[in-house]
Amino acid sequence: MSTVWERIGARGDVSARRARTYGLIFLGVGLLIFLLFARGATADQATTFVLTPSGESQALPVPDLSVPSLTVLYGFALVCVFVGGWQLARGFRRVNLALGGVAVLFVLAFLTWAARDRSMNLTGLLSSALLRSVPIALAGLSGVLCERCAVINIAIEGMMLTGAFIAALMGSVAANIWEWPSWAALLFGLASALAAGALLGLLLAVLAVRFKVDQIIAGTAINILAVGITSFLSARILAEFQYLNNPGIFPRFSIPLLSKIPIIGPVFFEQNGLVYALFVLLIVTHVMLFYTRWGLRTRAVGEHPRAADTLGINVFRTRYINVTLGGMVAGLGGAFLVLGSVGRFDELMTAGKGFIGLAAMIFGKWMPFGAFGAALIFGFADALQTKLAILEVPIASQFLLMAPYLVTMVVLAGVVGEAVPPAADGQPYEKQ
Amino acid sequence: MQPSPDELRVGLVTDVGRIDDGTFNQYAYEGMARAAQEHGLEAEVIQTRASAEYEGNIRRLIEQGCTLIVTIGSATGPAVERLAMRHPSVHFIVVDHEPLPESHNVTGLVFAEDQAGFLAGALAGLMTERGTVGFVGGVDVPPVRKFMGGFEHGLALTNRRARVVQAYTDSFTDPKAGEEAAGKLVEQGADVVFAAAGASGSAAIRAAARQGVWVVGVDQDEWVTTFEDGRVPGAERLLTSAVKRVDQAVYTAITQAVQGKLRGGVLRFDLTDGGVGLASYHAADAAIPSEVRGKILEVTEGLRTGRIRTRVGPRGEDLLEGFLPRLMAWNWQAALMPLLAIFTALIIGAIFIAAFDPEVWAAFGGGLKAGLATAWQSIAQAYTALFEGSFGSPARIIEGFRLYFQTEDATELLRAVYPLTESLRIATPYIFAGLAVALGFRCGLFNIGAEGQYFVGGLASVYVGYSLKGVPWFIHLPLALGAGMAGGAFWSAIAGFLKAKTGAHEVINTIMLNYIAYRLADYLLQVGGPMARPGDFRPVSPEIETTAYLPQFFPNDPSIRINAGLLVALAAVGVIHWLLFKTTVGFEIRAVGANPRAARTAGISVARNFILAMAISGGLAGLAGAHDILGVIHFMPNAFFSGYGFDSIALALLGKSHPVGVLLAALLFGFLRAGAQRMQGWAHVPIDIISVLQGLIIIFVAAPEVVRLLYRLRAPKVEAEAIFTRGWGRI
Repeated sequence: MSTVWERIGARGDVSARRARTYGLIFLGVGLLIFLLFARGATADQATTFVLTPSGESQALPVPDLSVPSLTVLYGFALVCVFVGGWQLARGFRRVNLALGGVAVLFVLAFLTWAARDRSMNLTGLLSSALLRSVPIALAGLSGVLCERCAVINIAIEGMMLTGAFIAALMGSVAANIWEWPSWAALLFGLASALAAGALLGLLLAVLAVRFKVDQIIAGTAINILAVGITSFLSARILAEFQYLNNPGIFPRFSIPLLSKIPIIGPVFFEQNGLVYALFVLLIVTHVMLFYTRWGLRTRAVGEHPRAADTLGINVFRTRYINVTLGGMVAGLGGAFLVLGSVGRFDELMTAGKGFIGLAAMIFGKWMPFGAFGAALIFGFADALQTKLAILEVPIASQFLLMAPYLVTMVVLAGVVGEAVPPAADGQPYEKQ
Repeated sequence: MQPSPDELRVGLVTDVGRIDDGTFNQYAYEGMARAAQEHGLEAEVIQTRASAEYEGNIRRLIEQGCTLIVTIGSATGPAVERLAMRHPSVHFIVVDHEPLPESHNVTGLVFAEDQAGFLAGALAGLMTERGTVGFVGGVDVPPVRKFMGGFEHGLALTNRRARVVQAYTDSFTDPKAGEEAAGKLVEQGADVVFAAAGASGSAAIRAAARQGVWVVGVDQDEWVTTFEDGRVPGAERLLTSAVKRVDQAVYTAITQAVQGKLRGGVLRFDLTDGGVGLASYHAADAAIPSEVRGKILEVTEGLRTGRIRTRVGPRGEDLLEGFLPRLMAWNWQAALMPLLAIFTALIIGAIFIAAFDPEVWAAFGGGLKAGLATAWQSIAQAYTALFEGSFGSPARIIEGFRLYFQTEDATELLRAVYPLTESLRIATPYIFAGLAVALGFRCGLFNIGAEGQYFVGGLASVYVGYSLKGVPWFIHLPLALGAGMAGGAFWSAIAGFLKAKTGAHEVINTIMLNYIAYRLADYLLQVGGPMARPGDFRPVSPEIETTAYLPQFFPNDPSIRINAGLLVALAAVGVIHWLLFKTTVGFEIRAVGANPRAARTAGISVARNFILAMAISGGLAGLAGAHDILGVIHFMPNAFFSGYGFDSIALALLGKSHPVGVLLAALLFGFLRAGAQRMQGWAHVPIDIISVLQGLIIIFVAAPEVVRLLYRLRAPKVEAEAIFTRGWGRI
């Protein structure tokens, strides 16, 4: 019952040449697993994956998974080779899925090899990966909100930095000067960060919409401004008055029932409130963007502002609102860095997360959950790097630290397939 | 190399019309026919029926083997320029067209229409009785504007009180529109009508002449063409015609080509060589008083000798004479905007400094007046430190000079100008980095990764600097500089390549490459790392050999670190200016930057230029790193955060992506940064205030409307749109 189209699609959604490249990549990964990892392991070594998080947890205990390293590595290599052969011979219908599977196998093989003769807490790794991916996901979500209405927001980095600074400062002021209870101080810090983000978002919107400044340049200016202001004020205020840089952090709490699920429970449902806020935001944004009138209008403005204008949609207002919302989300990302993980502000603490978030947005094809998925990958690479330092893997840590950036570049280069931005992205709209 | 006459085949593509239609087409054809006959050339003619056919017609002639092609009218210009780039062995002659400076095989025949118009205007001014003369223009193109401008100024010369009324037909072919325009002008009181509108204009003067006003023809002697040697009614009202000798010009150009003397560029024809002028008076001869004739002869002579000037520019714009009017007409606002942007940023910076000074807060506790006084003091102290840190204390410099002249001891003087030299030293890498980003902008690329390229350039130059031993300086130093350039170029070419091949946006990629460069340096320089100094507990590279040092200006006083790098930077400004504006490479880069799609249509490889521009850009940023290594610190420390990445963007924007502008902006930033160091030391203002200033300057420069709003300036009429970046790299 296969139509012509399906048979063409059977070679993947890509050209024959590209399909062949994929096949060769899969074979290459299998070979790499064999050469790099399997030959480094001996038959008597075993790898133990701990599946219960360390410390307090509501999750049902799961026995540790202990596997013979060499056998598993050979198995992984064989699977990769088989997948590659299948791709070359028959072709996968959804080649990206196969690519993802092979990538996961490679990472698992790497872990199996790195933790041979030792044990590794897989749940802990995943949990830390999620935590590290939250600011990136929020940055990506901010990008989605802005770019869906065709405003490129390169200023996410600066908005996050400002959000982080304001969260630290205002949270500390509330907690240590006004002596509010800690939950109120944290919420106040959070609200201030949102307001700061909104303000910068509005600034970007004014520059991009009202003054039609090149959006990337406007964003860069905001970034520089944010770096300058936060570093200046940090040197002036936070360095001199230490108690103004101590807002505390949101406590972790477990969600009943859900947190009891093995592995997934402790990873996703034993986090602090800001992580749950991200989940809620993701769902809300996705529903709003694709199932409400507001979302339809936003997307129309992003794809064809002139047509949207003709239909009576206020293009300028839509952009003002969306970019301001995007600024708030970026501010939330900054607040998370302070109130959700570190507990204090440091100069330049965002360290490129805003830009990585943009890459996640592109990787995720301008979809909220896509951006989140991409952010998880970046977060995982980041978390892995710290874990490996503990495992004393004979790879210079600097190269592992490069990994997230390299992954970003590879992703952007479109190994995963062409990503199509909203059609009017980056263009100022001129009313006729 | 010009082909020899016997293999020269000449082709002619007419403007819309036929070769016997009494306009340029006919005259150009006659000129070509005469040249072809005299020199024994083969000639081909294609008559164009619609303006869409130009390119196809020219291409047909090329296919037929024509190596010299004449086209008529400025409308054919774009088609010719496009084809000229692809067919460098064919030479093109275009009537009424100023070729692009880059096309070496296009010759434009340009006439001094303003002189002919000027004579017509002078005559009209003498002949008008009602003091109103009319001008009928065709389409608003440079030749018509030049006729009009000359006409106006010529009229003003002989008749100060007369005024010009004008009408445009928006066509060179529509006779109806010409008649309507003539009717309108006569209604407005014009008693002399000059028409420069092709066939449309001919209809206009025919109609006007029938109504009994004086008329002046254009291009050819319209007595012969329009009035058919006087057979058409109203011919006696034709004063004369402002003639353009297209036939003669075409003949001259082809003759030059045959003699192998024809070059690309512009051939100008004016009164001196008889290329333009007034036709004879024919039937109106009797009606023109002899003193009028004498005056016209006088004006002609004046124009020919240059004693009288038409004051019309090559595009028909009014030229101003004298220093003061030119000064007043200069675009002050464009020059003022960056200054206002800097000024505004400094004001806001001052507020910022005062607002976050704990002392000021304390003083406000003691009353508003005390608070304001302290705020003022805080600002004054900060900016005084900024000034003295960047220029040096004027009193000390004067004292230094005094001592130098008295005792010939320069020590005190050198110490006094130390801040100045330091500013110039800091400005040097800024010049390189600013040029890097500016060059990217010119190609539509946003190189935000100057920082990483600076890093890699520094790594490469330090490696060459310490690993090569026993080499004379004149080999070692250029090698080390070259290594820095190559390192930076390689690093940015990665981003350029990815952009060209996959469309991955260079902004993200260059930032990612920055982080990778930090880690790379981290790895290479860590204690025990591949490039670490043996036996040192700090993560630094070995010292470079002295043969790789950039020589210092004051070798006796090593604390004055200004060095020959400044000269290299100035040379780079010149080279980049030359590259961008005088070479084909630069032209292609700018073409891709202005409109990649159009550039691709014109046969320019967008991908190649992306990679090339990115590589040059990175090479410049790498030179900035090489300067700091070879000229200042002489080794590579690990923690080497420079901030050039963002600074250089501000520089390029402030300098409007022009090399000279970037140089000025870099000097400004050098002075600011040098001053800020002093400000931090003396006035305890964190050096990050510079970033605040830079961010504000970028905003104000990128959004001039904001500055205009602040200072209630009016918007200029035309503002060239600067294109810097475009979206996520889709072309």
